[in-house]
Amino acid sequence: MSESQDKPVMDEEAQVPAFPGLLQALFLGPQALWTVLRAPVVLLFVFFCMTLPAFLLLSGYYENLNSVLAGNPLANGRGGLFLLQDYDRLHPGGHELPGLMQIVWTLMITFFAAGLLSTVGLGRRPRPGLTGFLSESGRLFFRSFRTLIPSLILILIWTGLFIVLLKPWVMGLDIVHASNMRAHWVLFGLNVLFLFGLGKILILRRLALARLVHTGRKSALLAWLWTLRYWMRHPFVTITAYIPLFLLFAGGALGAVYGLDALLARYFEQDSRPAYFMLAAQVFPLFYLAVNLASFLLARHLVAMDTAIREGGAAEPRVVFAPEPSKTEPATSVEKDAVGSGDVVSAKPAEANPDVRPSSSEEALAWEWTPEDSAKKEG
Amino acid sequence: MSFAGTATCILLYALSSSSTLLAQGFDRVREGLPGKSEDRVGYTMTVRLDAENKRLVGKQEIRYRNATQGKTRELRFHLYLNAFRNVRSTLMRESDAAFRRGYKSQAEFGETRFTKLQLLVKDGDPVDLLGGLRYEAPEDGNADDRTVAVVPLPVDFDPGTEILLKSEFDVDLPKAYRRTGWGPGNFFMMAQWFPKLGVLQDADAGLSSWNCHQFHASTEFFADFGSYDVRIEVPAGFKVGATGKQIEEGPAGEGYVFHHFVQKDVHDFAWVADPDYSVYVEDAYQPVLDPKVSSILEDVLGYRTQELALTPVRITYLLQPEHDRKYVLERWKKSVHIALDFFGSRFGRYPYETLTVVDPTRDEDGRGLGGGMEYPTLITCGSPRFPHPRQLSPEGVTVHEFGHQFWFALSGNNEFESAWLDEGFNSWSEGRALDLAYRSYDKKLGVGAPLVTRAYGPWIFPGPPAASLGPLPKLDKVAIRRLVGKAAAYIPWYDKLDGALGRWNGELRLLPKGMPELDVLTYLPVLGNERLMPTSALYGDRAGFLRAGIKDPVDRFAWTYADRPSYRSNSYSRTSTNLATLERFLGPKVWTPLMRRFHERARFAHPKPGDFYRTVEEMGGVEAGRLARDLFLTTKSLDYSVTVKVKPPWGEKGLFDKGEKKDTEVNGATEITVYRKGQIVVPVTVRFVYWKDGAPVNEDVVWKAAQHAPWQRWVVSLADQAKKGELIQVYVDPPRTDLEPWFGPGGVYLVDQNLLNNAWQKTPNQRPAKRRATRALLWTQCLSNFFGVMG
Repeated sequence: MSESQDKPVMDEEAQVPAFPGLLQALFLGPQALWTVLRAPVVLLFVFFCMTLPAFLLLSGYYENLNSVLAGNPLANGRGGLFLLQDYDRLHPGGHELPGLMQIVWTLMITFFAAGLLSTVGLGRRPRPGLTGFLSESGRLFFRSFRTLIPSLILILIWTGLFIVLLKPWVMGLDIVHASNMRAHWVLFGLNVLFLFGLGKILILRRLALARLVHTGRKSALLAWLWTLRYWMRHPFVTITAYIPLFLLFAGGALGAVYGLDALLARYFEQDSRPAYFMLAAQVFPLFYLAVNLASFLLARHLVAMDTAIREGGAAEPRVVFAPEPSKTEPATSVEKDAVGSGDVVSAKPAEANPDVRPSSSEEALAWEWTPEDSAKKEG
Repeated sequence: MSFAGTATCILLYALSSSSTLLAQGFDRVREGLPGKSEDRVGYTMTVRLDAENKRLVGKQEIRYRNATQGKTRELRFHLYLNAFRNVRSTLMRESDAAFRRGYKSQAEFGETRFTKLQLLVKDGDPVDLLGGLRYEAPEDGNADDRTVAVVPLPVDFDPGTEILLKSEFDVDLPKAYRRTGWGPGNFFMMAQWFPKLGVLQDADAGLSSWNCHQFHASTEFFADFGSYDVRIEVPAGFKVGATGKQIEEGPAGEGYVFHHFVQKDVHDFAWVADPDYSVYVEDAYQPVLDPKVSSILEDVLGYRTQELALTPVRITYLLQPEHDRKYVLERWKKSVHIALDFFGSRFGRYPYETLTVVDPTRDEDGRGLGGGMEYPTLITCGSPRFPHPRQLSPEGVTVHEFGHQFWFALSGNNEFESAWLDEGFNSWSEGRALDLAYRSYDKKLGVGAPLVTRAYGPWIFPGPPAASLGPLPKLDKVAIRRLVGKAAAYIPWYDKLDGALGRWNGELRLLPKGMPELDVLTYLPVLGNERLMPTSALYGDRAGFLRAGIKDPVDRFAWTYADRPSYRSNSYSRTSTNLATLERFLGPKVWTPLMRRFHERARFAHPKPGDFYRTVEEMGGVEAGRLARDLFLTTKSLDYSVTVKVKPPWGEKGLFDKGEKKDTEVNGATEITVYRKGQIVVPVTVRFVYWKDGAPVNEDVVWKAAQHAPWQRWVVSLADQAKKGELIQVYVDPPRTDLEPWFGPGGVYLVDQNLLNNAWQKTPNQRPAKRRATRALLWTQCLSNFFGVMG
């Protein structure tokens, strides 16, 4: 991929769309998920990258375990559980790998999310290949990381405030304990509030990152400030937009538990072949990953809409990228000049850029180019 | 205080003559169940609950008979609630700091005070005893501990005589952090709430002494069997459940109502009050005998079927509003029925008419207050907010607490001095009951073995226990180091980071502590780690015991174990595993009658550890008795292992080998060495499995206990293998398939410290490791997905 494809251009002819209503917002999450699913190469690549470290690290675990169990016929019998207990007891420690993996995963998501926003999220046409995706992920990683830090700090603060101050204070009120049920539901409500707070921080973080990618700016702080203002403007629509994704997250999970474990239980029976089960079960983390990535794309869409409204620009991303040059069509010198500027650059009027999407509020909702669109344009 | 005429204050009664129906200590020759207890004590009490101020005001009359051979000049009372008087009591000092910090204000502490204590005199004025009351701390001398009150008597309390005491007391109730007191929303759990006499026991030189220990963090209770007649007054609208049978209820004036309960042959009285309870009653559940067990008891002990018959029980369920659902109630009912059937079949009928099952309330953090606890004819059984269909909760705790009706309420062992005699015996019984009852899947309730295995990552694995692939995959440090490479060893902060992550991730508590209401979310794939499901309590108990290690003998006073994990392991899981080992050692036809006989003799009899060892010896033989003593009285361990070497066959190696006849005894022979690594010496079976004519053929050899050598070697030559078939596997203490229907999978010695070295096979099988590693991978992926949301 040449550098030219990073070049942003401004869509000057964009019309100002209306921000979606609550009903429209309900469809944005599924649309985002659909967009992710329609980029299977990227999705599978991210999934592969994120699974590989766990796979490699666990192969060491497997080796150790196998060295103990392979020669023991009890391991495959009904008393095999005793052996596993003994293995765990006699090989103490070792909780650290899942912990390490969580840190690695967080960083990897941070890495890939920015690339996703910058490629799939911007609806570039034709969609950049894996090289382009990786290149964008790398270019935007530190920006993405900078938006992550405030969210982690906010999570710590919110958790601390909740556990140390809010919850003890509320649950200490006599009125709460007028009846068991009232106390119970107040407690339940508090816990939901806690989760809501966490969810809100995670959404804000996605919006901040989307803002950075959308504007091409670098300041995470400004992006967060903008995001806070954004939240003041559209709290209900934003929450509504994320609800379907949350439900998919939870519902998909439950479906996987109760569906797959019923279907595939036999693979865990004595002398079964676990490889089949493992392969089939990969559907589940893959789905989770897709929903998580969709939550970033959703943020990007909301940011794009709001930015367009606030700044009088297009409903579509104010900054879009020039098309990936074909092998026979090198990037223009103008585009090359714009690379690396880091800011919004108007290098070419929209009408001269066949890749800028038509702008209208309706089309803003359908923020994925179809092959037919591409064919039409190119034709 | 005048001593004139006090001699008459002691009301003399002749001791009842010995009767086969009356339990008088552990009777080593008795056959059959005793009909009633010795009834040494009687409490007649009236108590009023001031719910607003969280206080009790009570009056009591105590009848106490000196059934020992000696006399005494003092009385000793347990004032258990004084353990919650401040953070300096012995219980508080022995508890961890977090527990003490849990008390947030003075209002959460509690105290019991005598306001009047008199000795009743026949035809005379009562004698005040309150003036002489003092507090003692016999175990640790803690001046701040007021859980034992000593009251001098004006005259000797002679053997065979009975005294009458009258007292008034008031109680500031503590918050129910330890199962007694008040909870949010007008919940009152009243246990150990009244001044209670210790147990007078025989001592030396014609004197008797009181067995009246302080309330320790790791001890429970001990008291005489007797009769209770209690009138409880609560504000109108409160629902009340209590020990015994309610015989009357009605208005008590000033907006109060009274509930009158009576019960004989019990050693404690507890009650609970809460206006929010939903009350369900099963009028007469008829427990069902297990025919397999009855058949053994009839064959071995000569019982007739009608002698084993069980009697109906009236069961009352008090459910908190959040559990007032048919589904939850049905699960509770089923588990109580299972318990009544199981314990009745094996140990004799449940002799009381009533049983009250209490669902305790929750504290501010949603944790069950009162959790699971046992009192005569009343049990508390906490349950999750949303009982998961695949987790045996509330079943586990219900069966356990009901089991205490047999192993404690009916036996009355001294929980201060030998807690394992009830906790351990009951853990073993509970595990056995759950294993048997939930082997088959209950479609109606969605509970049962095929689905009750263990949750793991996104998966709650269905299937029988064999399909469970073990506990949480603690990922081996060795594995990490192997992958990180030797470089890790040179990173100065590696170990620190390693430890920090280990601690952080140790509990894998993904939600902040104190949010158990959201525990339900841990069943969701993204949050779920591995939930231990009681597929077999055996697994859990064995793992718990071995994890804690052997720091003390089992048989020890509860507060003298090295630490709390040692107390817990020895009192619960180690005893349970020891008993499981003994039952496998003896087999169902010896073990079932043995335990029946032990319970019969222990009922109402305050059994001591020695009584158990002697019963094992008497009915199981000397070898079993020796094993029992090794298991319970020592810190000896048991560990057998097997190593196998296959000598390479000789080839055409050299000049001198050429043309020689090969020594088939050594050439290509397989050398099997069994090691005894522990100190416990028992006969152990070594199994050689040969592959002949397309099928395995077992050959068992018993390495006897008399052979005290630390190892024994067998050589299987090629000639042997030509005759018997190829040697494919060797086991030491092989799985006992004949015992599996009774006791579950495994060999005889569940106490074996390391089963990884108990077997060998010629052809390696990688699938067990693959299955588990696969689960580890999926789990890691799902956990990471959860944290990926943060990214």
